[in-house]
Amino acid sequence: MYANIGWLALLGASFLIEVLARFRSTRTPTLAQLGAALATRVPGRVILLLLWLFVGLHLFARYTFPRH
Amino acid sequence: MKRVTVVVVLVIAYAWWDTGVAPFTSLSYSLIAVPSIVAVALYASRGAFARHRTDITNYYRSRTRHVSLSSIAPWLVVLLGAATLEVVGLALGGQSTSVPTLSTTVDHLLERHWERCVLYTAWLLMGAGPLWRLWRRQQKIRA
Repeated sequence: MYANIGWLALLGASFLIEVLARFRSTRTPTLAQLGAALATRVPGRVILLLLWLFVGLHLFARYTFPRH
Repeated sequence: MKRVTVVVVLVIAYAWWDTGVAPFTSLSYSLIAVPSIVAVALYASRGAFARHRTDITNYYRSRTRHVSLSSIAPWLVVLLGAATLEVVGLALGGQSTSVPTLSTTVDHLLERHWERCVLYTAWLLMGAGPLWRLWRRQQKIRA
């Protein structure tokens, strides 16, 4: 249960950081800017694409239903 | 506008179909492979994997805003927190209900077909978005 709260807290923190980065003049980049920073080099673009592919494969072709 | 509507309908229809297929089957792998191969091919056709394409490098550089190790510290803290939870969850066998991994947590969002369809569509948009922006940028330069 506490770990679920942990995951929710991390999601909330991510959302907060993203909103602050977009709408306030903070030094923190948005996720899109972070992705662009990684994508300035070809290996970074490959890593981002592989990450996207991995997420798709894991979520939609290899998911399991939770035990109740 | 009509073309966009047709594309949106086709994308949602494909997402509905793909997410209705049972996992761990060759059909499910094949259906995931289609948008994956299309994405890789489109990025390759745009020159995204060519080292000599300085225009693409400059495009991505223009979209970063003084990104440095200190500026990404909040994101690093979130990443560290996620990695810690994941490692602890995996150390407990990966199916613990008290310390679930990210995968186990997300599984609850995959129970219903419509939830999987929404996530699948979001996944497609996350892949298509950067590609669309890159294509638009290249069209603007050519014009």
